[in-house]
Amino acid sequence: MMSSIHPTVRLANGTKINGLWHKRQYQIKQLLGEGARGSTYLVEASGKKVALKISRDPSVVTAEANILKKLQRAQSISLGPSLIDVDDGYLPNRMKQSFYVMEYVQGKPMTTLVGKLSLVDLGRLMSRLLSELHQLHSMSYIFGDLKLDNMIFDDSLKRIRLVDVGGVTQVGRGIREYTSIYDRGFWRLGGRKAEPTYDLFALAICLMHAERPLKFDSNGQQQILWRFLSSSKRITPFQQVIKQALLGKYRDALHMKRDVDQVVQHLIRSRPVQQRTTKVNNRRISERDLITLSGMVAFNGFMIYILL
Amino acid sequence: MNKGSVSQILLITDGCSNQGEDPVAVSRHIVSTGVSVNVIGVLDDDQTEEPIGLREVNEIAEAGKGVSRIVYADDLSETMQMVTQQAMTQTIQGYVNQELKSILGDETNEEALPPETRGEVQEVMEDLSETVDLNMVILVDTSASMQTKMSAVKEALDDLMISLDARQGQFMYTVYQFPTRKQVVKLLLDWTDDGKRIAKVFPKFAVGGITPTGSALREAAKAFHISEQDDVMRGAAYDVIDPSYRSSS
Repeated sequence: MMSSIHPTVRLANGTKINGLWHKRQYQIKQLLGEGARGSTYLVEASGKKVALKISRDPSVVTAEANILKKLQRAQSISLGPSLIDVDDGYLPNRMKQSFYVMEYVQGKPMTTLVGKLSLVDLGRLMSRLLSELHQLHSMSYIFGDLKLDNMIFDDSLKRIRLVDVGGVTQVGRGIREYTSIYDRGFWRLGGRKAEPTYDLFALAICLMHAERPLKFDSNGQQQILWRFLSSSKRITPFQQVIKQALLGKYRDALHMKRDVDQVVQHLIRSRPVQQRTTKVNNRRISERDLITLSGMVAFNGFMIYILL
Repeated sequence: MNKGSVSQILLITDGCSNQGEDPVAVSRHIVSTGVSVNVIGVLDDDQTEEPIGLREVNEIAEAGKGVSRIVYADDLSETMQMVTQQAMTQTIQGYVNQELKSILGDETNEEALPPETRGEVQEVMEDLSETVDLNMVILVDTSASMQTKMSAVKEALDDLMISLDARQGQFMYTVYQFPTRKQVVKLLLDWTDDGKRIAKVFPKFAVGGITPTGSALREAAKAFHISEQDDVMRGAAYDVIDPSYRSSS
């Protein structure tokens, strides 16, 4: 797209930025990403790796920093990186620019992981994310621009973390930051008013990507979604959950989580039986798999015991 | 303050004007009446760079203290939403900066404040841009070369309505097309707050070889005054947030 003003700021590796208000120094290490609202860099500050977001539009910096501050009050580490600093600094071209500094979230991008994870693992991650979304919704905020590109699988914490908070919107207001394919307005399946169902719709689209990347027509025909869903193979166990979320049938994130959990439980229960038959027919199942399997059967039995 | 209104013209065109008044001069006049002028230039699929004729698009918006974008038809939906939103934010930013100057002295604008205070100002601006009433004149170039892009324009306007319907502030709009055989502009849809009606007015199109953009802008801008007299548009009578305040940043 051509536009008159680009919010991105290009900085060479090694560039140093000095904060004018809080006097901290940041050294650019690497570009992490560029978007419609600015650029994010990996930077070093007193020997530590952190992420710095800078934009030609100072209101982007202020608005996102505001949101990060609010999310910190939720004390949920999945909902966004923690905010470290907000400041202005002079760039090598002598322009003054606003920026904020946040925790550097390391991990694998969900865009590639979503097709590789087992359905059980994917379901568990989504279930966890739904709890955290519910927490956000309870604070009267909607994530807005929920999509795989904004999700990182944090290896050390074993959970999904959301990294771009530009779309976070107060409940009842209009959503301004969204990505067509994840936006229910685009598919004419609802409006852009910020409400829990808006996020749940986007999460359903994320789940659909576990089948294969969703390609779409420029005018967002609903039938494309339904056809994709009904012809899906890998994500069949989640078909009903996805359908309900697309239609806005889940009142809140916890209702959707309950159904996701049920699917996960069902998958775990049915897995040993399926794999036992495979074992007989082909001998490729390793000993390690068997140990995991028997562990899972035991765990399952244990869970059933607890539940009963 | 949570009441007030913002008035915008959204011009959608694919080429330079070739007849009538100078659109840049007209745009400069319109902004002096408290209305900003935003322009979206639509490229043909096979155009790989900005044609010279479309430069006018940026000049009109600049003179009209508005926002402009030049895009392919496929990108129209997200662009319209962004242009409308950004133009509103700019108008409000300009207004708030003006207020800050009057309170804190001539050299003050938002960026001169420490980041913490700026955060609070930002929240006020976000509140304002969510709650102000928005009045918009949509002016669509329907000359021959636009015909192939019309379905994309229609989709994008329909999509824009979804975003504007979601706002808390009231929203009123009217749609004009140009050129037509007998008049400079033709009213397609009178002031309404019903976003669904836009899809129905679109099949009727005239084709013409001339593009009198300047004159069309002047005619369409009159819609803001007509409605004041008719009292159809409740927003126009009070607290118009004047886009001419807008700082150059």
